[in-house]
Amino acid sequence: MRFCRKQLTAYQRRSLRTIEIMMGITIALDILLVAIRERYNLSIPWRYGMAILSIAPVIATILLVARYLRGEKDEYMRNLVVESILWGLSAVLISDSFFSYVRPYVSLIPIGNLSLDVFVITTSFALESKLWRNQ
Amino acid sequence: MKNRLRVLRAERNWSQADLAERLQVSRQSVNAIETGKFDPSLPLAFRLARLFETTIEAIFSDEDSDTSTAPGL
Repeated sequence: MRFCRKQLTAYQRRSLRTIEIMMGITIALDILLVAIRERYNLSIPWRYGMAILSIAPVIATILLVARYLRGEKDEYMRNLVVESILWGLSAVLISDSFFSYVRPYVSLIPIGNLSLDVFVITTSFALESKLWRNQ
Repeated sequence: MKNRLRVLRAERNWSQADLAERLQVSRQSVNAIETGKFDPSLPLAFRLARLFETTIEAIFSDEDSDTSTAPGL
């Protein structure tokens, strides 16, 4: 998002910063929870608790994006962000469908936790390219 | 949809950034509307019309309107 940041309004920058922080928390928490799961033999209730904990920042990120879209006065930018999110979700669906078939045969690739990465990379790339095309 | 935004802006010697500031939108929005990549909503079209002190029809025109009305004229 660095490329287009200077073209953003204060509201967009502030929203983006908050969303980035929440996504950072999501990734950090995911790494931490996976490490705990692999290190300790946890009971089923604990595993469910960790699963719920892991989705909390994801839900918070979705709410932050929704709040940003509700407050965004620039309808063109709102359209771009929604389109980019749809690109991100499409990429997640496609990659998940593909890897769900590959997973049993290719155990070397850590494909279990790639959804968020695929979403962030695709959404960012789509937004950047749309803004760049419309300089 | 065709529009005369670029002409109206040039008449007033406004840059895209000037117009964007007056409309409280991004410069990319102005560029997208001018190039026909994005059709503004009705509230934004009214804001544009008010800003240029004209009507929406004077700024925007349907691409099919010329051909559809021509046979009847």
